Amino acid sequence: MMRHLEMAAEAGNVRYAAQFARACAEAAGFDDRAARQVELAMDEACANIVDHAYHGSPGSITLSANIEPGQKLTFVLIDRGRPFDPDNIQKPAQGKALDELPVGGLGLFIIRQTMDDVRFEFDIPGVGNRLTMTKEMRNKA
Amino acid sequence: MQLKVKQLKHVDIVSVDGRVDSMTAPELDTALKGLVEKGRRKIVIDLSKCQYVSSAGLRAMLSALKQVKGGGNLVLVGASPQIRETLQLVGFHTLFTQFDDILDAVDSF
Repeated sequence: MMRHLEMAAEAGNVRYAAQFARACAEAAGFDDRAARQVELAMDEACANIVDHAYHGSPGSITLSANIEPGQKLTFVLIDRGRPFDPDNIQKPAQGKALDELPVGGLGLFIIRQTMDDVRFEFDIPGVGNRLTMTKEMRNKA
Repeated sequence: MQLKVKQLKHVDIVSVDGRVDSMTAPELDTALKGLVEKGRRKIVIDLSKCQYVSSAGLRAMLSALKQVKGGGNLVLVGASPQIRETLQLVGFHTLFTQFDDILDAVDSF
């Protein structure tokens, strides 16, 4: 089943996208822990678009969810903001001393840790930037 | 989200009621920075009424921890399973000392 959400790229809307994602995860049959991870991944993805793609300027996020109950959940997020290089974002550098820890880069790291497949495509003609993230069910129906 | 700040035995307790995400994290960040700027170095963040923290909240907490370390500390109380999982996910569970009880957290200073 497909679900669709379009929202203004504002910090106040991030929670709605996150809760929408969690509802999709529950509909797909993910357990509580996995559903919480999906909620967090969506939160981070939308927050990144608000903060970095649009830099707080007006814009929209188009969000589609493809729910395959018992199998997997795929989200596609589209924005028309600035692209970035996901390979150029510093990881949280776990194990480092406190004063060496960067404060940024957590959001992208969380997305990659919680979702099974994460793909970025930038500057697609007529579309914009597209993030596709998928979570697979561990014990498939 | 609502914040309450009170003092107990020279320790500042910041109680978070609600969800900390990119919308509400700036308020937590401001409150923590305000304490640090006043020279406060013993901070407890009470998360027992906080259901959710995203990376925006973690950034605010990490930023404050960096500023109080070396003479002070910032510890957490009552983190939910979701928050504990998030801390573990990004490797912050070793940075923040966690307590189940506020009085134990205060007495740790």
